[in-house]
Amino acid sequence: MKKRASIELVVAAVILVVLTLYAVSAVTLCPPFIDGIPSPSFWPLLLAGIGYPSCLVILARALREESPVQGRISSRKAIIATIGLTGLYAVIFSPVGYWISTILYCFGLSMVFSTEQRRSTVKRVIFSMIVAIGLTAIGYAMYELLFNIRLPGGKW
Amino acid sequence: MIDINAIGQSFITVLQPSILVWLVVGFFIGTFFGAVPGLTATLAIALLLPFTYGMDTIPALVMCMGIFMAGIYAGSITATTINIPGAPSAMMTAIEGYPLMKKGEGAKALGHAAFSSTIGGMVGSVVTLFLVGMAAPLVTLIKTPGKFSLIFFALVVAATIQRGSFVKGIIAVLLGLMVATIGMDVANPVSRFDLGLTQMVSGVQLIPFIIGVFAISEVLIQAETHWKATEMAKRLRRRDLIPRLSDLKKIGLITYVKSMFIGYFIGVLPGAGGSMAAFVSYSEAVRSSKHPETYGKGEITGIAAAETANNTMCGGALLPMLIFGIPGDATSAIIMGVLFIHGLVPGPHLLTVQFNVVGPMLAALGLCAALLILPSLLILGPYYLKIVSINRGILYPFIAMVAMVGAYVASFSFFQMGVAVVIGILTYFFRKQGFSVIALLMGYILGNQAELYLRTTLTLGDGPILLFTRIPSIIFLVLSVIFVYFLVVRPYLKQRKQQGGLCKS
Repeated sequence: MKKRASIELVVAAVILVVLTLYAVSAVTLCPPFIDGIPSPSFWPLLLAGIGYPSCLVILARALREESPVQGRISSRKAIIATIGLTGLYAVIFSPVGYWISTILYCFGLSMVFSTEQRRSTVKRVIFSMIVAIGLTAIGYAMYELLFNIRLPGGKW
Repeated sequence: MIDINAIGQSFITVLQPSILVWLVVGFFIGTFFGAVPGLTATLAIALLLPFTYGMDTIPALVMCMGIFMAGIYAGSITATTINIPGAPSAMMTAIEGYPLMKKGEGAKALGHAAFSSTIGGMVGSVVTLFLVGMAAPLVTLIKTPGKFSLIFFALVVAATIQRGSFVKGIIAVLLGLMVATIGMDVANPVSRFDLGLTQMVSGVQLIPFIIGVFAISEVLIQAETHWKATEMAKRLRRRDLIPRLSDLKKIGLITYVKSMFIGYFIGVLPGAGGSMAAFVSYSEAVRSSKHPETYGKGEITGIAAAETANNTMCGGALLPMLIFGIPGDATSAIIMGVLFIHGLVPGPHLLTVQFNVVGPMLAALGLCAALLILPSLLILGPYYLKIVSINRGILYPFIAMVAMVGAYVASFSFFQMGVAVVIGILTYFFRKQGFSVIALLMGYILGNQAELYLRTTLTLGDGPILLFTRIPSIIFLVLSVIFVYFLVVRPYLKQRKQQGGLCKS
């Protein structure tokens, strides 16, 4: 019960913080009305104004522990690995280029998604490497050869 | 005004081999994505969005229609064979189809699902094809205050109609609206919420947003999900796939007609989608049945009701999208992205001067249902189970790679690729907490228009009073109140009363 409530509290708190930063940013932009005409900060302030009560309702429910069970991550390692790989791919895609970055990304994801299969680690590594090279080649064929879209070659 | 010649020409255009091939390609892509649990037609079109840049407009739209129709239909395949709906809209089909599969009558269930999808898909698309022709003059009657109220109504529906908390629905819509405010202001040359980055002046672009919300978050969801076809279904015999006349009589014409009405009406509602259409139609079939006790044990009328409704929904969902730029469901929202990519803007101009583009698109939807669903089942039906046997270690890395590269290719921006990743990760946590992704998407897509129309209304002579004095505006505001009352307030009051009764006893 306590864990469930704390996840909801964290979510509500994060949304409140985002709304506050959003509203502050809007206020520092300009007043909501200039010469009686709605300005660029009018709409954001209106949204923040609607958002606050809604967020407080979720906060109140979380404190009363009324929320249904949600949000439990059943496989933390897989999620952390997938997020890490995806973030890394976005970072190295330009400097390293399409081929190496995509092979590494597909290799990593294939290892993550094939954990439930009954294979030895060596076999999984070989399988994932073959998949990574194959998918990268298919992607190259699709984008560069079929659709004539230039993919980054890397800065190194 | 309905131009029969133009409608006829639309069908002829689609039947040209160079266009028809794209319909077939789209159909098979949609069947694959619709059948595999975790993949959807929405995801398929989101992944293909960047590719449509290099395609001509009509083939791109025709392919999308093939994906849309097939994606909704194909969910019934795995729903029946392995009790895992390939698409959310096939949940009710699983309730009746899987028991039939266990009894050895899986082919019968698949045949009825395909037949019902064919009928629903054809009727939905033809109705929309005729209605768009009549809608153009009506659209011009709605002025700026009415346009804002219409979008307000759409956002209210999107927030209320999803299962789960209404308050979470509101927050999902608001977050989408907030993302839409990033970048240049709608009316003034001012950049907002750009965090001091020049790359953010153009805001969060459509394709990276869609890829982040649907593709990247889905890969994350699938990373912690494990499903398997634990029972290999028996081989299906082709002759058993053809629905028998006696079964069709048992289901009855009224079931099909009611389901079409329900499916089309729900399709028109913003954010409602196929799962809602199937659920409501199935519930109505149970309610009106003389033998409701047979439901849940392999009742083909349940399959017919659900599948007719969810495929009729396809035509309905496109109607408000084409007329007002307000999508009826997530897939039509992304199809709207395809229109934007090709410089097409929903509204009277698209429905009249550019009917030569819209017409073939709608004709393709109907032809896909008429020409491809049943024949593909008869030819490929016995092999459909192989679709779910694809190794996850190959499938999801492929989807993730296509999504990530697609986010880059959309604007050749590494920055937007990063934006897609951030949005994907945030959407993953969002979904885990029960927030509606469709409400988020609707907020993002309609945000700029909503802001522009409201600010313009407030600038006009009578200001905010116009919202309550113009008839179209009043109609949409009243509809919003009705929706909130029936879907939120009344169930809440009923629940409180029941809890009060329990406490007393």
